[in-house]
Amino acid sequence: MTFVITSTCLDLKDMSCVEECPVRLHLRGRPQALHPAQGMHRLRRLRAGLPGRRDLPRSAAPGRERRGQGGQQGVLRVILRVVKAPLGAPGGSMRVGNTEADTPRIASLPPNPTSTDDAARDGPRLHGRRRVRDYDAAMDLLADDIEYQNMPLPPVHGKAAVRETTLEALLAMCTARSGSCTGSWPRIARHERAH
Amino acid sequence: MNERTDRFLLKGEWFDLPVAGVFELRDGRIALWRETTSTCPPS
Repeated sequence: MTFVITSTCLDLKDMSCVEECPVRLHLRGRPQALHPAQGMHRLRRLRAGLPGRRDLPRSAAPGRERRGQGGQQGVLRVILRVVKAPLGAPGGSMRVGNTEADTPRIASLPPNPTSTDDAARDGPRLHGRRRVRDYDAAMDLLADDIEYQNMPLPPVHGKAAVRETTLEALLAMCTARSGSCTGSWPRIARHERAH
Repeated sequence: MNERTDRFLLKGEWFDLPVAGVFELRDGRIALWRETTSTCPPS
């Protein structure tokens, strides 16, 4: 059984299913994985009202993945390898955090074409790098003399100051992010929600 | 441009703040990063 429900589970972190889910089933990796011991029977009901449910290739639709092919057992193995401890039944995703764990089959799927976080897309990928809080990589996207404006705060000048006052200070308070984008570079409008 | 909604938890209550980040690029790098917000309700 796969835990990828719709195409919005890949890369985008749309997370509308997380908001809809009444019991916080989701583990956070590239797919918004569901813990197998905590209510897999709710999958179809959750999926019915979600965007992108018809966008996945047939081979990736729920129920298409078999044991031994990177499905449920694969998810468990990968997650166990990443967190280096049995997850058991953690009681919801909030206690586990982001595992960044993909099964081999999910990892082999092509990048989500509607995600700006994909390295294959053109344009600045600052937000994708902020997502994983790779501040050094984000610095590469900034000009040395960057000016950051956020009224009514005074402007911030230079990469080091932007990193200290913005990326590290503000994002440290951010606990979740979801979003999608429309259009194509150089006119991309990304709609996201930060918590 | 990056349009987003930042949600803040303040004194036990969530409130949404619509934000737009506007980037001006020079030689492929961000030279100006302007965050703007609106207190007007969405139309």
